[in-house]
Amino acid sequence: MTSDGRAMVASLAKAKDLLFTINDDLSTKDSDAVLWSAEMSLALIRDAVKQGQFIVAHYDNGEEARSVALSSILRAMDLCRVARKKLFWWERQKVVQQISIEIARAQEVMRRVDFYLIPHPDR
Amino acid sequence: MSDNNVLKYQIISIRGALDLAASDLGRIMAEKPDAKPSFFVANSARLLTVLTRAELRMSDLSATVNASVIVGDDNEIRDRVALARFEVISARSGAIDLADKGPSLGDYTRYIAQAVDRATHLLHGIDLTLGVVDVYSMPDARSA
Repeated sequence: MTSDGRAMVASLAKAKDLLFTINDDLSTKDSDAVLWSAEMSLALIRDAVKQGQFIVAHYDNGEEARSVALSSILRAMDLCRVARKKLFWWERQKVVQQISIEIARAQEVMRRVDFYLIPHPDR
Repeated sequence: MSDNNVLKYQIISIRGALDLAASDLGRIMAEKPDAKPSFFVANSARLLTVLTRAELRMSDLSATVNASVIVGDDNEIRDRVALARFEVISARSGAIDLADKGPSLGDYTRYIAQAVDRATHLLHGIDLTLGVVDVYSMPDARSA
């Protein structure tokens, strides 16, 4: 495996771990700092999911799974930005709940991810 | 105007703004990609104005809902208003840099259109028939 390949696998594995810790953080405290850090972590996960190559059980192909995970991650990031606006308590509660739902959707896909690397066609 | 009428007026007025946004988005999406840049600039600016108005009205609507006791399914209405507000905020943030999107303008416009559509759908789900939404003024709550 090339060093690029190893880095890709490592970043996808890190992304999976991060997805599971964001929800824990959000469920215990929903301060602006936690939301900010959640958005930054989601950005890392987004980049890893965009670059990585993976196959996922129960999906026809990796691209479909990638698109499902990406759309939930992007939406969760969007909601983290919304959550930092001045909101009433019931809106804040709702937005954090929505972020958790989107992260759970991404988790569901990522939980089934198997990392693999396609050999370069010229090698 | 009673709080009940204020709420209805605010919802109807946001629906109007969102309809305008949807029609602007439809016009942008229907245009050929090789249209003059001035077309996209003018329409994006108009869209941003409409969505800014919608976002401000959504904020007023949240304040009304926050300061009122809604008889009936209180949580349902709060949920819908909160979710619609998030969609409008997302749509407006998207519209801010729409003009700079170049070739990816199509996907981006679709993303904004979906947010506008979801907000419209959520607001249409609030029944404005008399007796279903009944809001009583709570002056003390307004300062909270």
